[in-house]
Amino acid sequence: MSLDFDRKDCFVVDGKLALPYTYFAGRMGSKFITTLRDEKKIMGVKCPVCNKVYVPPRQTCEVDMTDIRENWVELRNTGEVTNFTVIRYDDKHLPRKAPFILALIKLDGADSPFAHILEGIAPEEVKPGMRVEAVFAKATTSTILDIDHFEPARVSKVQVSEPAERTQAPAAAPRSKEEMEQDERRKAMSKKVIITAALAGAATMKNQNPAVPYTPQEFAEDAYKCWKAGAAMVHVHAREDGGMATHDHKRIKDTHDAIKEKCPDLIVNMSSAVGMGKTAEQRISQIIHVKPEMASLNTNTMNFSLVDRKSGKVFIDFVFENTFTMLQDFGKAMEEAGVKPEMELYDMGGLDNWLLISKQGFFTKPYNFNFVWGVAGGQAFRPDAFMTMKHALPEGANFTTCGVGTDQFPAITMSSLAGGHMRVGLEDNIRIPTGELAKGSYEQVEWAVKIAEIAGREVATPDEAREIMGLRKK
Amino acid sequence: MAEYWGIKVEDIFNTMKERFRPEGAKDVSASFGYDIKGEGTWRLTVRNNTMNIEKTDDLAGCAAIMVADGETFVGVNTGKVDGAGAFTSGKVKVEGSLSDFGKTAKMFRKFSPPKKEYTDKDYIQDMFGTIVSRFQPQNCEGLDASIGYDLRGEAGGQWTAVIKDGTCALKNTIEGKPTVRLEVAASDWVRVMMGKIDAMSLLAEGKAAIVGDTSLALKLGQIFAKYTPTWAAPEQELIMLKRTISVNQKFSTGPVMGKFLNSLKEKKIYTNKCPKCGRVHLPAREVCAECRVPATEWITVGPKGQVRYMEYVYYASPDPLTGETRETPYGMGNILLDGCTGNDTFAHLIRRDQIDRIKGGNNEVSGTRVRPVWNETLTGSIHDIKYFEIDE
Amino acid sequence: MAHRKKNRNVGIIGIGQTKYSSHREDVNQPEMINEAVSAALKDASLTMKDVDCIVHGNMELFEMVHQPDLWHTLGTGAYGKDCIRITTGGTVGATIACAADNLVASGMYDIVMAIGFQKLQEGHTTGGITNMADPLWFRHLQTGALTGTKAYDVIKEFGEERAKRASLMYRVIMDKHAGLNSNAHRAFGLEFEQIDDLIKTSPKLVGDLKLIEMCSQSDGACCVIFACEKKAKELSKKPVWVRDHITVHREEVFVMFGYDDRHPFPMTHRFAAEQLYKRNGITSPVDYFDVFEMYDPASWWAVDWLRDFFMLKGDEHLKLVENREIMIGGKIPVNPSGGVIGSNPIGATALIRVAEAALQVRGDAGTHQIPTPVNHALASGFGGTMWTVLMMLEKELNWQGVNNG
Repeated sequence: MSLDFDRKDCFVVDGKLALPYTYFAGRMGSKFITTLRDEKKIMGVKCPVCNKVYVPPRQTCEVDMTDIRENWVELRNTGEVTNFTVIRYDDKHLPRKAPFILALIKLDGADSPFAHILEGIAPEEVKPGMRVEAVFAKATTSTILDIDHFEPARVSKVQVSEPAERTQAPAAAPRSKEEMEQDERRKAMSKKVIITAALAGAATMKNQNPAVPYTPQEFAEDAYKCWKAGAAMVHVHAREDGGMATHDHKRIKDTHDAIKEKCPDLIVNMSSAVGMGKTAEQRISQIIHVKPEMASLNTNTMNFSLVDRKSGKVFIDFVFENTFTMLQDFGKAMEEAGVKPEMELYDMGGLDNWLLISKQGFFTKPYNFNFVWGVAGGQAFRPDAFMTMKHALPEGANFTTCGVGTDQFPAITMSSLAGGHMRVGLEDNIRIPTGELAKGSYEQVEWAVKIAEIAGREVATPDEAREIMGLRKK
Repeated sequence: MAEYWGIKVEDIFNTMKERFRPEGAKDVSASFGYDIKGEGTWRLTVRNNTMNIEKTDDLAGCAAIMVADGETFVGVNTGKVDGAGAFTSGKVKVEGSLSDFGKTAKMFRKFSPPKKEYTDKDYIQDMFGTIVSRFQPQNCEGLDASIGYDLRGEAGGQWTAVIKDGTCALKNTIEGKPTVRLEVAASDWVRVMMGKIDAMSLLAEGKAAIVGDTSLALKLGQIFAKYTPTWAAPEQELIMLKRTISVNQKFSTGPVMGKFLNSLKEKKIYTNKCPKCGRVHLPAREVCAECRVPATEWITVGPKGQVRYMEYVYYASPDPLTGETRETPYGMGNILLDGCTGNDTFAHLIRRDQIDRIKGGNNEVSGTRVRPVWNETLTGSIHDIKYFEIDE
Repeated sequence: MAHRKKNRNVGIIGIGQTKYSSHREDVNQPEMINEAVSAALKDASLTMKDVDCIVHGNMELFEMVHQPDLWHTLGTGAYGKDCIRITTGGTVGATIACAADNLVASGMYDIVMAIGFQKLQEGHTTGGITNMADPLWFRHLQTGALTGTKAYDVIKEFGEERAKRASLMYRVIMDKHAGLNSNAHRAFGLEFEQIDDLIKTSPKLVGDLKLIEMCSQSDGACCVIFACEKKAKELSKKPVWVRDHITVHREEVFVMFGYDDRHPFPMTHRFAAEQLYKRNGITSPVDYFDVFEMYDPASWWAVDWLRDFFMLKGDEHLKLVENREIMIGGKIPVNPSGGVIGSNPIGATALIRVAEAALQVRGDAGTHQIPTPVNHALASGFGGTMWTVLMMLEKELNWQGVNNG
């Protein structure tokens, strides 16, 4: 039995629910948003237990519940589309008019996908795996929409040729399984090119290019810009406030630490030459004091002079002393301190010197060399000399190259084609290929990135560079 | 004039002019009084987007007067005291119209204390004031030691940090021989703690001495977290996203509520009755909640009735349909309509200007008699009745 | 009333609470929850690996987050685990405790974690509550959890002066208790001497319900870990045993204020208490229990409900308050924690009653610990419009002789 009623009494009433609310982002979320808004930087956090990098950041690793709130890492503004969908209906809560693309993007350096709007490409052309980069909003709102959207990356990988493979035959000597696996991993990475920025050197001054850094702060800012542009490593000679090269431990450490604090990800390679007129003790003790991940190791005593290239006049005649004993002592000290030496080859003789000392057996693999061209006292860049040097390297060694002045870009182009890495920076050259003064080392890094693209080489991240060069992150 | 957190009551009033926001004072034309116990009384006058503040005993004609003691007043204005809590607990009182006084909240920018030059003495006090909170027990397992600070000079003094069982206690003296004793000028120690000079160079120059366990002194950086002056601690900007969620809904009346609402269009109140216990539900529903049997018989009740209880509502809550704040005070009556019995009253608004005259009723005494006032257009909604008014 | 016997005994082995406060802008919701979860795990010396199931609860519409259990996983630790979300209004914290007890007692899980939370600063509490009223005829009138009816009732029964003083006396006692609890949101330092002044000056909200008498609106989270008897004995030195719990529900009572004494108006609190005590053989609850953590949304309700929960007659409940027998050190301390008036993150509030009652039984309540031994504790939950949950906690596993079937 039920109530006597008539269905005609049923009707529908339009209603509404309207309630104010305030969302608190918390410290983590706020830092993420304000950094995005004010510094145009995307920050994530890394779990020290499982090494996952999460973005947006979170307080705990959801897998192992580790408290990860202090482990901030900065990510690049580029990434890869892992999946996407097309929103085909309009609704007031949606950020765009339909149709628009909502993509899951794995930012470079992150492990968790990040959802955002993808523009500048038709929905039918989107493919998982495509490279994209963030476009920041001009008018900010303190929300995730301070990244306005992502769009296809301007610098995309162009496969023009298979990158150079190692030419050496496999080693005959028996090797451990571990070593072979390591070699395999490195080989798989041979397509990657490491870009190094030599930020200052000992002799380039602000009156030549005002962008040359002197103070730790300037070094940090400059290093940061280079890293953003694609550099995996910076090479550093610390300077006094007035610009003089210094061997002062505190100043060198401050400079090193400022860079590491600004971009913890970046590899810092310190000079063991320091500058003119330093004693052997001054040159090596600072390396042992600071313990960077990498440091230069010079291989031959040579003229290292300031000259007028047009008239051939000598301004400063200087002998750069690198005796066998120094090569041996510096090399040993570095290896013992866990600092990976980068062997500086100014000519073929330098390589022979190193091969001789290396028979003592204290240098650890993989070996990393830098071909230096154009020093007044060394040799000028010549492609056939380059290939000769490359062929003379020990099996499995890495090489990069740098050139002084106008040798810079031809030399690194050659290196990128020959399977080597690239070093740029104001230490070597104050200009970009158009002849204009570089706005900073980072502008040369941008050119190097373009060269890599033409050569069909992907730019290595700092962690990839560590894997290739056998560095341990500090 | 007493100072609270280094700020005088007068400072708050004297900065009102520069903190005034005309855009927050739109449409306000009133005077507000401040009676700060032991400090005096002030009168704030707001008119035509301008303001004036004066210290005066004449608070006549103020729309509202805030009463508080000096410490609470300064505390609330500087964020040291929670305003809502002070108000709830009666440390801040408002005489007169509370809703009018609420308007002053939007008229002024936050008070910020003037910048101060900090002396070595300030730093030293702050350093030792925060030393216990900077203690890092996780780095001091099994450590049983005392650290004596012998700081010389005008800003100096003697302190001992005693570390034992994973806790740290501070004494304002040095007794006997601490495990390690630091001797340095207070001004130099401030420079060390602020990272301006390193302790090693002070030691090297003979400007500082470590007496006792040197290795412990070298571990100070692990025992205590880095010192940052409390006044320098950068306040992190915390993001808050304010929104109003607003979604459209549709409600189906069903046949029983439908009949009840439809009957309102005829200015009738229809409801139904439980065949078992005789209870008359209001509004109508299909089943008696007590007996759990269908309520089968339709009857007409009211429309007049007596108020049994009226909620006198002072608190302004948001209208859930719009998110807008409702105007207060208002009266919500539980009206026993004629023909209804027991506790089954009908809830509706009471005419706003009559709420002070409403009396509740019970078995013995009838409450105020009321009648519905109907809207001109009837749509089959509870709002077809505008409100109930006294049936005179 | 049908009542099931427990398949196995259940003990509380871990308790974690955040500090309750009005402002937690520094953490988002999962981060705040994680504070309580981490504290409970630490208290129980467990890791998330040990937890089999998570029961998560809060009030709907309060933070305007859909599926909060989903995006709270980062804080709850529910990754890869069974997680159940429950929401039952003001009782939700008690309901999740009952659910956790049931899930363990049934044998489904050995260790279950109950998590209640709320961030009232993020939403509009009163606005949210109004949505429990029927949109067709009462929502436009609803004033959230605020009502002056209980003040009206008590004043009608005992006269204005005695009633108002009793309400404020209760309020000041709660404030004194809150002053002892470092987690409490509000402790104003009220004194008994202020009672007359507060009666006159505290702003009115609805009818005779004044601002000082109403509960706070807090942010916070509470987490309680329940384990089966075997695990509880293995893992905990001081497990607190869940003896019984009861939930009673009835139709909404928005408008049932006719004051017609010929029509008795059954109240869920008294009904629940009667059922619970009867089946556990308790005749005088005031004597049996050593502490009562009561869900007291406002001091008027609290004063009145003492009569229902302790099955008292006449003005016995008023005398308990007036003689300060409900203070720590009194005959039956009520809310040593400071109660809901002190801290009210609503979705956690009823779970905090269970947590605080358990801390008293364990003797771990610190500065607000009752000085005399606590062997039997009662915790209550309340939800609109009239829904009661009661939970009984015991120090010893020794009631099995009592016929509670």
